[in-house]
Amino acid sequence: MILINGQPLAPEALTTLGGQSASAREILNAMATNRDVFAFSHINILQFDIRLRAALVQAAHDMNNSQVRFATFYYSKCNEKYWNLTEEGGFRLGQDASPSAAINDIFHNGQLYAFECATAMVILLFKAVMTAIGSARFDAVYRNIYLWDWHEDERLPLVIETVADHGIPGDIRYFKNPQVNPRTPQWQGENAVELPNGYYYGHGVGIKKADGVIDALNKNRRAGATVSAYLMNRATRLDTTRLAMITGFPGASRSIDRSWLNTSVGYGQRPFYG
Amino acid sequence: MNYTTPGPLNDVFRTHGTEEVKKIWKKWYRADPVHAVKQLNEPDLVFPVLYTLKSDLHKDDQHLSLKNRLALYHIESIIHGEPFHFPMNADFFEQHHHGIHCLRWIVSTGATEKIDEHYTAVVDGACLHLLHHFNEDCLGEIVDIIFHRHRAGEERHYLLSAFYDANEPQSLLYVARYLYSNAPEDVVLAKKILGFIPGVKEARDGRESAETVAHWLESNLPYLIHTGENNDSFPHPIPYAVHAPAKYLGVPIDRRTGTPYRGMTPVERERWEQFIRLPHALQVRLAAHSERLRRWQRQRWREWMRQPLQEQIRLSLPEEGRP
Repeated sequence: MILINGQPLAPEALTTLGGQSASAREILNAMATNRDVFAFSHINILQFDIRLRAALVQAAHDMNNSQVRFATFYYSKCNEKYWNLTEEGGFRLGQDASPSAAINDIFHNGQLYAFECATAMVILLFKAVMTAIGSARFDAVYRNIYLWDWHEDERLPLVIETVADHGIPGDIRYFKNPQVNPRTPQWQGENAVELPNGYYYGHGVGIKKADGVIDALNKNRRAGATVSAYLMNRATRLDTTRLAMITGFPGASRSIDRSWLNTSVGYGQRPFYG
Repeated sequence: MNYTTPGPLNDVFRTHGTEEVKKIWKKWYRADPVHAVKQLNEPDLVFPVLYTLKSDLHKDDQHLSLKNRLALYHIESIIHGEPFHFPMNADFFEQHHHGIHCLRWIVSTGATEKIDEHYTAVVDGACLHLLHHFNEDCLGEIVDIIFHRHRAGEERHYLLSAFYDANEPQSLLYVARYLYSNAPEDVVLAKKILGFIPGVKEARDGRESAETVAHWLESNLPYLIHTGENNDSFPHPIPYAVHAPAKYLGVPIDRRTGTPYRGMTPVERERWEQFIRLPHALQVRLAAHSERLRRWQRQRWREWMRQPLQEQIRLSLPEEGRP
């Protein structure tokens, strides 16, 4: 269910907002048919949310198609032309590096990078924000990026919400492996971007349905394990209202900006539905 | 790390570092192999010295102490994924205790060092084996290592998630100790870990935050659910949540499943069913009221519990300071 300023979104607005973009329609439908409430102060914030989610889904596909590798925090690596590798396995943006170029380099020169799945999610979030607001704005707002784990960055506001019904494409979900083999702590769980049609992208496991992710985790349990890996019922989401304020997205504008709906942000271009 | 123990190799390591340890030990070995190995078998030797010399040693060398050989097996197991075979014929339960002894030695004498790019993984592996294979209580040590590495800017992700996953809410008190630290970065991390407890972030200082943690545990420990959330799953994990119906009824539950430890009476079951239909915020408030009354005025609590639910709500309001 979608609320705009406390009022349910009119059904005709769904069609208008969905426009010609498959991604927008998919995300809108998932929200509208959900028993969980998705409340926005203004329709422009809803638009921004959809735009970010579509960009996040696309970024997940791009990362899956890149040559980045999974590595534990002990063995993280990065392209030192843009990033400085820290002792805790994080990537700190180089002093003279362009934030947008540095984020894009991860996708273009993936063979130079290796990182854990939580770091992958933060990279995808930055990439989605960059796609949504444009490189110039991104470079202005996101100096001093630090990519490490779920490292907090107040310019990338996140909320964690309960998924009582079903997730929405662009949610970040977590598959927990409670009886992981202590020899392979990197298999304790998998952060994954929710994609349309029941698929998930997790760095290290690729694009799979929930059962596929769970199977991969279950193969790395301790001997005698009796509890299966499972999908947790909370989702990490961008706090779109705060992000709009931070990035100067025209959420305060009363006009409805539909121009982005016809851009290539949508994810209808590759046959990734399985 | 305990550097106060005697031992020439410990001293060399402390004062001159790893290269000098290698140089001197090789010199000793060329001169007198028996003496050189004997130095390694000294009970006071610290793990980083053995780790430094690992490429000069063999895990099946019968002259090495069992503890040293087990440590070398552990190192190979972590770095190369080699199977960890117990290197001698021994009773299964004896093996268990030798394993614990060795891993505890690695953690207690080597946890805060950084020798090379594999070393942290080796120490972390020892902690995880102690915790998950041997069910050894080492959460206090793990918390100390986490805070040490946080100050040093070193990797701590897997230890922190092991701490969360241990399902030992009282171990939060180990973290709360760091709320009193003079190092601001300690307080920041402690507040981040404990921030899921209401009032910890808002407290005026470390002492008030620590008191909030202690009070929260005192009021909620028998009614906590282990959620499975940790620093790997979410940026702001909530590892433990209060089970409001159990707290309201005063029925302790199994942290893993939420199942009451004892069977409930028909009256309790009916109360439970009524209670869970209330709005969440009211459940939280009523459960807190019930717990306070039960702790301080048990007889009054029994009388209160006999009232219909709506009456309980009404009676709880003045005490909450609400109209």
